[in-house]
Amino acid sequence: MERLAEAFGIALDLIVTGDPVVMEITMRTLMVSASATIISTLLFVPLGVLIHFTSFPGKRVLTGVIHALYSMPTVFAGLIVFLFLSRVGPLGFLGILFTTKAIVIAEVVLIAPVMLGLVIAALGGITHEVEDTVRALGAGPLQTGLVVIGEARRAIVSALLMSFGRAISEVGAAMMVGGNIAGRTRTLTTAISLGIGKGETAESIALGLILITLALLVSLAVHLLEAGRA
Amino acid sequence: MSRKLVSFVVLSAVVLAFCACGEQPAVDRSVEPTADAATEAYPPRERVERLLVATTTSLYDTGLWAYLEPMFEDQYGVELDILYAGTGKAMEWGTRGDVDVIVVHDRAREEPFIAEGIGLSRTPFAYNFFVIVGPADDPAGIRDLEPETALTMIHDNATVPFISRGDESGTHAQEKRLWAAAGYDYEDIRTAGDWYVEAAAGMGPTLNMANEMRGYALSDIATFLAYQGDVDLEIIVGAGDAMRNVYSVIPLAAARDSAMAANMVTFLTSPEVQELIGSYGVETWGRQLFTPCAGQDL
Amino acid sequence: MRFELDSLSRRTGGRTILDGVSFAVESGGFCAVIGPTGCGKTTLLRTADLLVKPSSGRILLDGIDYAGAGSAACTRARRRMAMVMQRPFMLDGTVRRNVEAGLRFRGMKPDPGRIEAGLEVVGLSGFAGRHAKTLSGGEMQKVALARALATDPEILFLDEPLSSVDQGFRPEMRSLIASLHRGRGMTVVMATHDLADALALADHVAVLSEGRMIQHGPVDDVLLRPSNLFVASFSGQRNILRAKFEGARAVSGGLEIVMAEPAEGEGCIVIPTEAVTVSASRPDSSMRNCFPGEVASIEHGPYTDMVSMVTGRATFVAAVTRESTERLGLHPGTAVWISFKANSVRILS
Repeated sequence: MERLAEAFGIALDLIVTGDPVVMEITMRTLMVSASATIISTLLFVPLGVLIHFTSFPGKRVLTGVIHALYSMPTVFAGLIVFLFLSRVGPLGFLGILFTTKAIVIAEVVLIAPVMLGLVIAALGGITHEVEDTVRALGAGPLQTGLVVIGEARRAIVSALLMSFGRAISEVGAAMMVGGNIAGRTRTLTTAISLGIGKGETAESIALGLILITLALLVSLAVHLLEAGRA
Repeated sequence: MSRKLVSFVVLSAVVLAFCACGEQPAVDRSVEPTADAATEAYPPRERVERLLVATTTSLYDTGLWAYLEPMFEDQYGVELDILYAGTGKAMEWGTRGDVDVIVVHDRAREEPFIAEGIGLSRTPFAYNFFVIVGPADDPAGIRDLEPETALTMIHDNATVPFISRGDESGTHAQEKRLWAAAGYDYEDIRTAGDWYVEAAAGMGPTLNMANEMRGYALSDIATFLAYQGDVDLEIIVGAGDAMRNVYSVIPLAAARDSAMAANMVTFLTSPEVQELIGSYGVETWGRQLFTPCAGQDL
Repeated sequence: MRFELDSLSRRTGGRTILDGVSFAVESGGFCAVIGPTGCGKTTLLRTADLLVKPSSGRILLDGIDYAGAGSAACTRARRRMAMVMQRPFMLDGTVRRNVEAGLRFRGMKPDPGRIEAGLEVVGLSGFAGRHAKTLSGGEMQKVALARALATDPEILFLDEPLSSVDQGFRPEMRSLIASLHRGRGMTVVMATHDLADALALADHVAVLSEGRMIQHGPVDDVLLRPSNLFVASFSGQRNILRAKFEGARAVSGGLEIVMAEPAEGEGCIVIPTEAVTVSASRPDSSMRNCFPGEVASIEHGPYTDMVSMVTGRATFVAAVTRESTERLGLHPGTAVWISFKANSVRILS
């Protein structure tokens, strides 16, 4: 118990004094997760809009699959990306395995179903009365789409935040495709999992505190958005 | 219009899926790969800014690499990326061409690796010994016995835990050899009971687990010494020729920059570095962690 | 705009919501679509406004069928029409933004003067800067109305416009709708379950039940001369009697009622309350139906009382002016004479 308290003290000290290793890992984690979220937004928000507004055979099946993929085991995503990016894999010529780019790709793969599913749900939450009203006022298909998206913007932003939260907490896939290389691909989560194994309790606690703070901030933001909607 | 977009997306997905399936490399984890297939699959590359080295965990956990890394980077002007993996994983990465150099410690596996041309050469550069560590009160009563006898007693005791690396690392290979020497079929050991724990982790984490569970583990002496302050374990069964642990550096045929990979060999066997390796840890832990042995046939 | 539906049907999820609905409204006319809740009025309006595609049938705007039209054509057609929903949805932003919305969708620049004038007409002067989502139900309805009218539609669809308005404001809303219709000369189709609205505002009525059009025509025709039991009871007819027909006589409740035309078998007859006369003594008139009876109860209205009288086993309700009620000294138990003409008796199919 004493050792734990001592480690806790060291951890706080590391954070407060801005220990360079801790800061470097934190910045990297934020950059990687933010990039993954931004790329996913550009890809999946329009895709979600498209899926929502188009009716096609098998739409129900597709949304079912998307929801099923919410709980995709992350190491599975990591494995797939690893096999693709490995030098003997189809994208090996890119040479980006064991770089932060690989982690970004793995995180995009992971948050794809979450973001897609939540965006579709957000749009689905806008009743057809909204569409009816706007179309009755003479809005064309594009104008209608924009109004619906506008009405759903809070829920969509929630979706983006939740995806970011998911990306930040990623361990398995980040480990597999990033390699947890010190100074290059080590993130908060991979560093903690390595550190704990090696008994580096204080550093792990420091990183853990930062991680949980980030996660809580994201949750808080989502909560405030949801509350604002009601 | 929207229907066309959907079809386009679906089509692209199908095409991508085909691409993924089509280029199946001639590499299968369960089958020993052949050299030709391996080298054919690697796209050529020239000079690189980073050298990827997969290292056995014991070298990493002792902090040796953190010590040597800046030196190499300064000397050769290249970014050195150290990946932490057991011997098995390192070899697999090497086979896939995802790393340029591997540093491992299992001669029995290294030699076929070279023979098949995946690794270009094998250069031992340091060694130490394996030890069996455990709680000070030695619950299974194996202190100072021969390693094979010690393992037999642990097996018969069947209550004090034995934490295995369980990760196809060099240390794990050594452990398996000891069980075989003691007359056991390794598969039987794996299912022998709850006392046999497969950590599937690096050396440092395995030692921590042994500490937590108050059990025994096979470790290289260097990593153990580095961890001694953090764990309540002691060396129970010490050195002996059978427990020699030799580290070799192997540049890979698939390395993107063979010259730089070769530099790593030169570096590790250079007199300056050899001396550094030899003196590493003496100040902190009072004894040598690694014995330099460049040039010896080990 | 002349508006016509021809055999319009809509089936979805295995249910038939509209079944072969046909009626027409001349340009500038006001048609009330009446029927109980759930009979398909809202679907009818949504289909007419080209918001949903019908399963079969035609939707004719000025004679051109839009039922199978493509998205672009429908959008263009919708820009000539306007609709106010039952519970109007307010767009994010100010009242002004809502009222301007239709114009902006058409790529037109909104004229602030006209917007303000439009708000004034519906009684929302000075509301332009208010946040639309914070208004009361009645205010939102007015915004929706102003919003719909801002684009000068050729036809206006109203879905139960008075249902979310407080009782006290209903007359105000009604006269607003009436004046808007008269002032602009646009065609109006209004869905309502409230008979009084139809009577007050419409010149034509279409009666809908379970997706089927039961009867349509000028208001008086439909309401005072209902063609069947459903329309009769829905339109609030009070004197509906089961009878056995024997030539020109209907036997009901122990009475022999003289009709203008003969009939056979059994069925229902209806006598409008306005056609029933109450008198203290036996009237000396040409009315061929005259029965002695007793006042059972009186429902007092603002100007008219509904007097229920019993004769034999039959009950008749007469609409009597307040004045007459007092002059005749009517109260429960008063002995009266009930009379009505033979040709006011209508046989229901």
